[in-house]
Amino acid sequence: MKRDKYTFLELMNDIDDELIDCAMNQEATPNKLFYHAGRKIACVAVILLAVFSCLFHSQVEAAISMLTTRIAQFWDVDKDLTPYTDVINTSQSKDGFTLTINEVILSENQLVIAADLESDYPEQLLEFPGYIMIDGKECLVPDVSYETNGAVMETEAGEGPDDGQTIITCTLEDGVIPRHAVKIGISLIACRNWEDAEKLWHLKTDLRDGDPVPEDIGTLFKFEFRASSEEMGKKAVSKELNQEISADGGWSIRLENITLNDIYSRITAELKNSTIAEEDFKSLAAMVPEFYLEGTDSLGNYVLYWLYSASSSDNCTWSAEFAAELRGDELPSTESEWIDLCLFTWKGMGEPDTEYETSGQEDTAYMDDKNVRNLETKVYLGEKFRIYLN
Amino acid sequence: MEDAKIVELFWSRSEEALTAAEEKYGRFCYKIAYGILANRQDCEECVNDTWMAAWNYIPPKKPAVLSAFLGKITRGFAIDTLRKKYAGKRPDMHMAELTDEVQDLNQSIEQMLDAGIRRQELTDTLNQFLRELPEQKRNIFIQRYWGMMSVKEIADKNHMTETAVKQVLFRSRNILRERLRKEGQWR
Repeated sequence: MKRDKYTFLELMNDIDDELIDCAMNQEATPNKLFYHAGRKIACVAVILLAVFSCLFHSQVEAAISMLTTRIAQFWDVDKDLTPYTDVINTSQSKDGFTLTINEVILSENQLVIAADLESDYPEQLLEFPGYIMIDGKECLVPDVSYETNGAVMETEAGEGPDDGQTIITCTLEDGVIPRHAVKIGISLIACRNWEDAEKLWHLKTDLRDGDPVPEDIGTLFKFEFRASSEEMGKKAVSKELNQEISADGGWSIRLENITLNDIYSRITAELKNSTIAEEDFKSLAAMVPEFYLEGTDSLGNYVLYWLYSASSSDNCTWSAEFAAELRGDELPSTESEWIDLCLFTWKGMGEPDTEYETSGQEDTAYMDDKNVRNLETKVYLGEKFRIYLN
Repeated sequence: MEDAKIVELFWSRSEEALTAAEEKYGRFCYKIAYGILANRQDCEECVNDTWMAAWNYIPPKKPAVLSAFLGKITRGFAIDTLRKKYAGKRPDMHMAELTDEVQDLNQSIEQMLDAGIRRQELTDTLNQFLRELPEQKRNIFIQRYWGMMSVKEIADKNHMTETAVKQVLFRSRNILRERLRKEGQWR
């Protein structure tokens, strides 16, 4: 193997054929429309919120003040430290960036931070420095994942890029955040572009609390509050399911686990199709149809999960993850008792294409319908089933 | 024509196989070559060489996914051509941007090769990493680093902003780099 600037690109030539086939033959999927619609709904909600806040400013202020005072008394909070509930929706502005913390949730051992970064830099990125401060001690977070709601938003012509909300998930060791209230410090770094973020990535292993972030790389934001694991975990549900569901077309789903919070929900499942012979499985492994789980929660909210990821396992099954997110207006409430769901796909999905579009003008399969909820091409596979959350 | 039928024609040594392959995958292979070479004449040579190589490889090979099989051949020829053409020089803008993006990954891979890790093990790691990525991110990664598509093309194809595509690529590269680093340490 030659070693030069093409080494990695050459190694990429060895990847599995079905992965290539899936990526290069990819059609436009309709779930982006949710984000598009979700963004508009979010904009309307923000405007309405702003109007109501102006109209009832004094009442809102008084209510928040009373609530925080009570929480502070209950948790014996230091007067100079922001209570957990108050840090939500607070903003800090620095160096042309405005960072707003939308949510901080503890879901089992995962700390989920949802934040909005605004600036005039079209390629801005929000980075996590790799540690959180708990009761004055630095706690390294080795496993961090990022999701950007805006990553799947379509930008209309004439609009600037919209990067939406960044969701940072930090996997912590069990018990890192204790049951009693402690001081928690979350730092986030705003970068102007991904080149700066790349430089930061190289620095990250050396960054510690109190270390300055070089000005030419990013701007450091710190949010401090006092909270317990119980308080931060109130908005999260996690449950093992172990439910077996049969669907049409030979499909069966074994629901394994559900996690749900105010930002997103995930259902892990195992998919199997009894009509696929063992010897054919490998060649079909990357061809899982675009499945959705649709239904309502016990409070009457519309719920929709889409197939977030699927990877083949050795025993001719796919390990799948279904996802629902707040931005798409499709998330069950954490207060609901159950969710009724039904599996569906849309007509034409899962039928392997034989022709490649190579003109560079593809994506003709993009759905006209503004909302997948009302798609006429939906194909339901089997009966409704119920997941109990509490 | 169905892929299986084209493969069958190759196996029966019928020259119709070449015509059928070119008709069905000519533009696909040309696009891959163009993404690397950005030169019409060089691309045409690579694509023509692809049919001849396929003729020599099939039989004994019996590709299950003909598009990927042919695409890989074209891609290999195109990278070789690029190497010869820009030996010791910086490639043109599009490829320079792409090779800059993967500079760190090149280093990680070279370090692993130096540590005695075999190419097949690296491929297994790469496949495992790709399979663990969510589908859309995996597709974007492959479209960029296998299909050599421009960020704009990927953004259009996935209905995303170019910034969002760059972010996905950046995050995915970091995950892979971290994974390679850990595997290298473990060895």
